[in-house]
Amino acid sequence: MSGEIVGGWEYVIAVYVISALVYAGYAYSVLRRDNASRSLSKETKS
Amino acid sequence: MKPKTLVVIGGTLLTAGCFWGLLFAPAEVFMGDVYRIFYIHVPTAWNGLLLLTAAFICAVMYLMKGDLMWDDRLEASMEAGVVLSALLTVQGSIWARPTWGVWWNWDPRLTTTAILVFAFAGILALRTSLKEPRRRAMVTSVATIVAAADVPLVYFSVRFWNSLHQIQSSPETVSAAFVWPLRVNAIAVLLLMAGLISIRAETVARLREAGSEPPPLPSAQVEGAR
Amino acid sequence: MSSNDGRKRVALALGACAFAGTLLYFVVGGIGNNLVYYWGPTEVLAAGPKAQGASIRLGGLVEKGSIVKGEGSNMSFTVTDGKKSFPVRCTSVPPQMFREGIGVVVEVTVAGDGVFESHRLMVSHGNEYRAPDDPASVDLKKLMDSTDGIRSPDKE
Repeated sequence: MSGEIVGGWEYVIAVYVISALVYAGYAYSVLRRDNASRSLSKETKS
Repeated sequence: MKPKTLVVIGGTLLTAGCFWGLLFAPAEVFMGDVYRIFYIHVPTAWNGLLLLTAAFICAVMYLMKGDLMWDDRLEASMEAGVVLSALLTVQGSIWARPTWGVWWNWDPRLTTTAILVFAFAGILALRTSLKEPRRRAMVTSVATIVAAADVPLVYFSVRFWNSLHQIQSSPETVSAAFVWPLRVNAIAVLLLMAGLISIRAETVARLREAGSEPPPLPSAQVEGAR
Repeated sequence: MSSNDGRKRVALALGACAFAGTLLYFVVGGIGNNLVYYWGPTEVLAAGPKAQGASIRLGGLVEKGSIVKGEGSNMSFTVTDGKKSFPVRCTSVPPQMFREGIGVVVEVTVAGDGVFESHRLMVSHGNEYRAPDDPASVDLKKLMDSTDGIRSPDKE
């Protein structure tokens, strides 16, 4: 009962791994859907 | 600046800020290393609320101006806002376990945030069921304005009510050594999301325009099939 | 698009804003007062015998010098709001940050002897973040004050 948190890196690592996956995953998903929509609008225009 | 440039700058800055906060910033006196979660939790919170506020502004702008461009922007900022607020609750939950001693509790800050995620995720789901662009924009805008009432509730919940969650920190309550990596990450997420929502808004506009083009005449379809 | 459409949309915008604003007003002003996440010792005393046997959340600061460790993980301490205080018995291992002067929220039932039996002990963190070499880090009192939400003795 020292009043201080000792260790706990596992929580920090878990948060950063999840956050990295969500940020990178969302960025990838936005770019991928953007590319898909480009080819779609070309098809409808041709 | 091109949206993709913003995404690259934001992503690079975010990576740098995280390494700064994780490896080079000192530990906190009572929370030790666990406090390092705030370098990503706080920027996620700020930007999540900012994106949902942007969605609210887009909703008002659509209803005032009637330009579907505002509906495209609304969808882009709301989607990103939901992703960030959902991530926010997960980060907060993991941080709460070693600090408060519980994964979750129905404290006003946590309750209002949970409502926020479900309300806006619900509006996004509702959108997919509406095919006619003007009707979809109208329904979404009204629902967004109503749901946006929860945004100030989330922000001020820690001041209005007894809560377990601490009130907002300010540079006066945070050591100078912690302030800069936090600022870098806040700006990084802002740039990253600004880039992503402008790309997303363009995509949504493109899909809407492709979808609303008159379908080919039935005879032409039959001709094509032969 | 006819001007009629435009007028309908603006009316919808105003209507939705008014609805959201009213909702906000009622939640903050009306329901807000009855929506309590935890009670302070003074409020619990005011409730009197009604609190007996009920399961409630008690919030306050851990009184200086009140922590008494028993056998195993048994422990007792006093929760105070500066005016009134309550003895709490606890059998679970507290979170690492638990210490004198920190804000806590405990889920308790009032035992027969007037002592609160804790089922769950949660520790609140203030809005201060201090580096070890920062001179302000020695100012423990200021840190306790910042544990907002949890009322501190000097503030009321």
